[in-house]
Amino acid sequence: MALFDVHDLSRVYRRGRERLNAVDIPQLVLRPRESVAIVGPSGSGKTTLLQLLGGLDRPSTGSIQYAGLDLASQPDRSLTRLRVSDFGFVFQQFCLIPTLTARQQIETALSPSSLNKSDRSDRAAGLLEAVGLSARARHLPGQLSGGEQQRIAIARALANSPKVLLADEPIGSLDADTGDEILNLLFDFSRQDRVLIVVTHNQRVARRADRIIELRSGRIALDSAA
Amino acid sequence: MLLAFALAELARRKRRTASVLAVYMLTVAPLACLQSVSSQIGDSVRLALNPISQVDRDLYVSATAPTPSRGQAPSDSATALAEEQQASTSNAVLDIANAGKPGQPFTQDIFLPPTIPTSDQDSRLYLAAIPGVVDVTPALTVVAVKRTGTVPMILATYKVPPATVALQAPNGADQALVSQCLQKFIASLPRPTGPPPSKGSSGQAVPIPFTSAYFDCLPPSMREVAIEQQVIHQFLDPPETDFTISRFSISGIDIGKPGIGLLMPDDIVSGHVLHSNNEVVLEEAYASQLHLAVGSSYLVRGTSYLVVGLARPSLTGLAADVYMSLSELQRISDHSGRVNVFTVRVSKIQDLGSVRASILTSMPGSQVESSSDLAGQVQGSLASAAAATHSAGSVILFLLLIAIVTFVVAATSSAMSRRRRDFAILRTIGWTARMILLQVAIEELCLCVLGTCAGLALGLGLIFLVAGLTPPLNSAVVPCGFGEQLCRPLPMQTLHIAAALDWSTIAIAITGALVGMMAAITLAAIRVSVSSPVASLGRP
Repeated sequence: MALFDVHDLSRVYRRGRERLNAVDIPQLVLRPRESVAIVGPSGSGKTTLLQLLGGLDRPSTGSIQYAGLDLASQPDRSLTRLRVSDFGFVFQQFCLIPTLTARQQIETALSPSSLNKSDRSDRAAGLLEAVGLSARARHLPGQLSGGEQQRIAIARALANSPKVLLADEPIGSLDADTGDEILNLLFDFSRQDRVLIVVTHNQRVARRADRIIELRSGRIALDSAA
Repeated sequence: MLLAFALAELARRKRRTASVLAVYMLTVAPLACLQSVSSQIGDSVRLALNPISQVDRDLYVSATAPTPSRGQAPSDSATALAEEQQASTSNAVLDIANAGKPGQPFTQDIFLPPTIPTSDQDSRLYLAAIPGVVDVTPALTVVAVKRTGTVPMILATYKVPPATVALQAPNGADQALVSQCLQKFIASLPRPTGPPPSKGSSGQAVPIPFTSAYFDCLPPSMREVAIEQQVIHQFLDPPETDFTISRFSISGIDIGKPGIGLLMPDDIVSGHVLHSNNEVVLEEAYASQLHLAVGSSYLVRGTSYLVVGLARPSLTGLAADVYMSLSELQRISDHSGRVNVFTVRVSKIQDLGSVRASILTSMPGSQVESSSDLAGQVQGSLASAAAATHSAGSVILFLLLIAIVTFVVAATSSAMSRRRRDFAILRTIGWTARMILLQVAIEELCLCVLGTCAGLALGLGLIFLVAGLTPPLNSAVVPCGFGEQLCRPLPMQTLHIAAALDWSTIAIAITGALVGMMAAITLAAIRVSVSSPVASLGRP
């Protein structure tokens, strides 16, 4: 059974009279409990595809069925709910709020949920412990290393126990050792009956995925599952 | 969480926070200063007018003083007033000859011609029949002149200049007639019967008796001299006098109804209300001027009245210096049965308008005023300041509000642009636009509260400055009743601007700041609603 079922997907950007077809995918199916690495050169449409799958962006044409819902036709409110309940995001630049402490970063992600303040606090503490940063709970992003910041970002992404974790170059800004630690965290997550979709141009990352999809000029050039 | 987030954001964006706080401070401070000064001036004006705001269910009815236009025949009421004024004028002449002997002190009270036409006091029956009217009481208010001094010695000496009257010479016919008449006259004289006169006595003429018959022989031009009428103008040195002339108003009120009319029991500040015809109540300032107190005697037209009370009348527009029984005033002022003001009390304040209209309809030519109409005007530096704050205040208030909105919106717009990425992150992790807007609103509220507090503190400093630089403001309230003769000033009010923040000042300052805050939040709402996580996080 497909978790994502993509048909005739395209995303076109217009810059003046120029049309840039960032993504053009006739068909793509992603199944539950698999980790997928999307690889390809810069400008191949990796991040665009990730954003489309995560409901951050809308396709120009085609459909993206997620668990029976067509993301392309969902209103913003539904997509926002999905981002709380089903999707977690990790970015290359960590994307932490500079004024919030490590614990507050996670609590911020829990704010849209129905948890009360106490439960949010407990869950944030548990996630910090899971990523090994309990001692850094009161630190601001600027007081943390890159690896620590990315761990906080992963903890925040996992805050609402998402079904899908979408990571865009998660170790692109980290050294090799720290990158390995982060990859371990991410792939451990995918083993918990969830889907991991990771965009990378790092072969070391791609090799750890169950499935590799290579994009070139927005089209699928290689799909290891095919 | 949201508050901590907001405070952290404000601390992080120090420049923006400082600039917005400065905007709030620099606009709220003058706003508070302006409102405080304006409020104090307004309170002082209300305090000055307070005495006439006490009687709110009463109307004061009088006949209108007619003013016929040129070429127009005077109306009946104009004729009546003219006759009344003429009669009073004839009584208003000071007759020094009857004031006493030279050197004696004298006091004369002269009632001036009325400026308000009088009417029969039974007219109150018409007023009492109007629906909504619960009581009516008549009063008579007149203005008098009190002259006191010493009867002067008046001596005028006239000298008639010498004159010669030239008689006209008789003509020939007249001479013949005179000669003929004299001969007849001589012939008619009795002849002497004794011996002829002796030698020594010869040559002496026989005397002719000079009787009226002799004069009858003269022509008319020699019997009488006609002198034409002459007008003699002569300057007389005025006699040295020590006259003092003072004008005062005197009201006759119904002493059987102390609860309604021109003098209310609450107006009495010392003593009691009138109980009999030989009592008077004096207005407090007037009594002080004459050095009179309760128990003193007050002389009106030669009659001594006992001062039983001192009053501070609330109806300053219709207030008088002296109050006495209506019937007594009618007697001494030769206005028997006449009144010129009716106090009409309505059942409830909402009836004032309808009763006023009914009176004007049923009694054409009447004048109806309420206590608020008697407010007259406030004069003096306080009035100037009040006018200035009223006119300039609105403009400044408007400009300050524009300034708040403009600067806060500009600062917010800039901040929103810088925070696009943060908002995109929040949208990515599931925050709705409403949640983000709430977060921004909390930040703006914090800025608004802090800025308002700081602005009020700065405003207090400004008020201190204004209070130190502004001289005391004086008010002169001169309410007028029916006719200028009844205008009389209220006690002077002096306002020293105080460095104080009252609730209205704080409310105005908060309102101004809230306007700025709401403008900022509105802008933020627009920006957040169109924000997109992808656009902010960057496209490939």
